[in-house]
Amino acid sequence: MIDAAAQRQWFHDAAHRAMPAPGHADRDCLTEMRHHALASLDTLPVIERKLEDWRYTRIDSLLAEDFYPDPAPGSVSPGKVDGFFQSSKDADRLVFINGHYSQQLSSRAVLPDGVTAGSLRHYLNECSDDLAHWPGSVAGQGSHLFNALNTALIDDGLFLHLAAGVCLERPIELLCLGMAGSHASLVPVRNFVVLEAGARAELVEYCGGEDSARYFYNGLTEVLLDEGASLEHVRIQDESSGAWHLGSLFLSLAAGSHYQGVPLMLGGAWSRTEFHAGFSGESARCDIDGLYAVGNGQLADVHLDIEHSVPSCTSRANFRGLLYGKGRGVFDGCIHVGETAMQTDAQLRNDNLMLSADAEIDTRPRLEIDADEVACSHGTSVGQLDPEQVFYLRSRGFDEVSARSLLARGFASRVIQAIEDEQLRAKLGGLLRDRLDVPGGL
Amino acid sequence: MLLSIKDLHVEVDGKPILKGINLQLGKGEVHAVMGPNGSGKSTLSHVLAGRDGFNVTRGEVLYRGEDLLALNTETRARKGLFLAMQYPVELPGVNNMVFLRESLNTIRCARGECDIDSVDFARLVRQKAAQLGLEPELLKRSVNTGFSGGEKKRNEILQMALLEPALAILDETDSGLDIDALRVIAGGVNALRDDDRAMLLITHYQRLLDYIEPDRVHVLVDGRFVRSGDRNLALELERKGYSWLTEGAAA
Repeated sequence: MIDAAAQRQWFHDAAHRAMPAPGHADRDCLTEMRHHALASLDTLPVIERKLEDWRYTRIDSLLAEDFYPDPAPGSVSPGKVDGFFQSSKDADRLVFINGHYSQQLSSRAVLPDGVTAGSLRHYLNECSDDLAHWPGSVAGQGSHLFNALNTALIDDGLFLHLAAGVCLERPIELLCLGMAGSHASLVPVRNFVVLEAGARAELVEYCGGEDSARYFYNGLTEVLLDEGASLEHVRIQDESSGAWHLGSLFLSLAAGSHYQGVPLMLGGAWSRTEFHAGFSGESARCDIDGLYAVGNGQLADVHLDIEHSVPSCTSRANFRGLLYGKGRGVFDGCIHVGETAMQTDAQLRNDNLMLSADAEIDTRPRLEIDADEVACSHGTSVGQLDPEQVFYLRSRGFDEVSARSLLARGFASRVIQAIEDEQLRAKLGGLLRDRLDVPGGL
Repeated sequence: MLLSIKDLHVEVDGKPILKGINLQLGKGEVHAVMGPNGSGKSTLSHVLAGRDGFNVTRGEVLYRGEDLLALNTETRARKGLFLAMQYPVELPGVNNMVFLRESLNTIRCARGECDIDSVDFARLVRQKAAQLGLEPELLKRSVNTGFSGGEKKRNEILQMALLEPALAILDETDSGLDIDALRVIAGGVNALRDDDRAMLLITHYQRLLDYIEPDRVHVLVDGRFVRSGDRNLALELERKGYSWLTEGAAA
């Protein structure tokens, strides 16, 4: 176990390796913010298992590695990018390689007036006033050292802005790909999604990487939904088997807005996905249907924290876990209903299917309620495949391995059933089929 | 003989349930096994289908001359044995169309036929579903999930119609059905009767036999066939109940 001083040093080293050299002219409107974040690497608590949030998750494997920035996208062919993921041929697609926008690999559609979608780096160079205000407006300082590291290195990512009342017909596709380099790469990604009043968009985010690539994706996404805005956000974490992935989502919902998230956490050796949602106005709604599926020594750690501080909002969080081989999952979810949040309607569920004796899950769904007149429920289950179901399939000719796989995929695919876009749903169904088609069976 | 059961003894959790069953079922024949609750009817169907938890202590079962009990469940299915379940389970998240197609392709493959084209399959399954009065909507849903009792039974017979088994065992297919549903399902079963296919109808009530006429009727009481006869035996049971035979067995 690495000590506190060494851990701080690791964060500093990671930051300094990735920062522009002193005297570099690369200053922009976020310079001060980066400085603050860098300074906070000395003040934020070190990450250890004494902290409730990190109780089940060790970060030793990260600390044992030195990560270097990979400044320029290498030679990646468009065909190779298509091989990772493509929700539809005519989607507006932004591609980032090792955290840097690649114009050549992106395919841009003509967007309606009022829509800005592109590389954050590009807009930082222009440095509009708006842009200087948004970063940190939802996430604040973030919640830990990894978030601070992300902020200290803010450079590129998705910037998506919809003016009031604008609706996007087709999804925006965001691909963050990790490519193998001569050493392990640090991939810092910072995304901003701002939907002004009544705007609607669909965002499909895919994080993946080359088979052999070793990299650490350290991403932070801020989503700001103004009154009546609506975002459907599919997020596929499909990192390479040698990758580390930390993705933090910070979400702010104004009155009458709606966030519908479908996060799929499938890849990486070590991953942690965090959801922080807060309501700033009444009658807003947050739905998250998530899946984590891990085997072969993988860890998937999921944290959820939804804060109800205003009346009459609704939250639905349903997370399913599929654990096979030597997979390990952590689900730590909390919905807090504050004193002033009357008429809150909140549900939190976590269901886990254990397919092997070596798989492991730590689950802690919590509801903390300080208000009266609320409708809240939470529940958790950890179970195995029903032998009756396996028998039924075998009696119809399926061998045991395919019967188990079919049932496990059925369990997993329920999280995508709420997606209205039929084409996208079919695509995700296919992706789940591929990823859960494990040699030797689940 | 398609199916030949000789002196079959089966225990469940160390308790004898079947105590010496003998049955000869030839191609094209339909036999009914009737009996009161707890007589061992479902045990017989489950042992034939290969379910775990049943211990065969004596006797043998030959299917087309082969030792059926030595085969695992899926091999039996691939060799043409089909069990329409009394309580079909729900398979949440498993699409009914996908399930039906994969099942059919597995069984076709075992018969040495090629995979069915997905367009041909869709046409075939819609046509068969219509014959059985199964709502097309139910084909798009998860297998049996949220289906009514009658819809589940129709879905069982739909599978039978698609898989075209050599031996079909129908376990209490009539239970929980109203008379209209029973008539439709019986129609579906009768349409599948032919000179090559044999069926074993397992039922508590003779009502089903008004619609599917059996060649032979066997009465199962306390793990043994206490009487066999033609379909008049079923009518006699309808009039007298099981008690006259139960008492006979005890004596």
